Amino acid sequence: MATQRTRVDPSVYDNPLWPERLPDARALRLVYGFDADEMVVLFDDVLHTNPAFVYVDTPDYEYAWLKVDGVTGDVIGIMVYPLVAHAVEFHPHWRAAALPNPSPEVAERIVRDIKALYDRYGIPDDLDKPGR
Amino acid sequence: MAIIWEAQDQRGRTVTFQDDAWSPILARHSDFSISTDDIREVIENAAEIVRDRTFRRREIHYRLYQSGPLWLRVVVNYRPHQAHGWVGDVTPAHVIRKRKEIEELLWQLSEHE
Repeated sequence: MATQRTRVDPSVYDNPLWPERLPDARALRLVYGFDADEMVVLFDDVLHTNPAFVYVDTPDYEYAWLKVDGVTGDVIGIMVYPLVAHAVEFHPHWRAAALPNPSPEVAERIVRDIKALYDRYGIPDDLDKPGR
Repeated sequence: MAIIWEAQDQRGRTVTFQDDAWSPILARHSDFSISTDDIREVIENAAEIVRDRTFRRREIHYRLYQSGPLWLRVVVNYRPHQAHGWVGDVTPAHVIRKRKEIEELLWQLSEHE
C-alpha cells in the first residue's frame, strides 16, 4: 500500500483544484464498505503522493470529503461517510451506491453532487486563502 | 478472520484490528502510505477521541500523522464484551487535513503527557 513519503506542504490541500471537466462515468471507480458505511469514488488508478481527505463544510455535519493529491492539489476522488446512515437523508439517490454493482452513472452523479456541495459550502476557512 | 493486532486505547479499552477490516481499507485507499502500525499508534496514543455523530457506539481517534500537518483519523466501533466490558474494532481509517471542531470531545491528551 505504501507510496513514497515526501515532505508535506499543508497549503496544497487548502486550495483543491477540481478537474476542468469531471471524469467520464466509465473512468470512475466506486468502492463501498458496508461495515464502515463508507464510500469512495476514485477518478483514476494512479498512486498519488501524500493524498489526504478534506471535508466539504456542509452545515452541522461533514459527510462529503474531497481526496486531494498532496503535490498538485488536484481533486482525485471523493468520499462519503457515513453514506446510508446519514448522507442519503439529504441525497436519497446516493443509496444506489450501497447496492451491488451500481451503474457508472451512480458514481458520476455523486461526484457532480459533491462538486455542487463544494461550490456552495467550500472547505474550512477557504475564504481566508488566496483562490486559484 | 485473523487479528492483525490487539491494543489498548487511551480510555483503557481493548481494540482489535482484523484483516477483514484492513482489506477494505486497502481497497478504498490503496495510495495512502499508512501502515497497520500507524493505525495502532493512533489507537494507543491518540491525541483526541471524539464521538461519531451518527453511530453512537463509534468513537473517532485522532493523532497527527508522522508529526503533521496531516491527521490520521481512525474510527472504532465498540461492542459490549462479557469479560472486558467494551471492546473495539477498527472500521475506517483516513488521512485528513483537518477535522471539524464541533465534534463532541470525549478524551484529550493533556499538554503535560
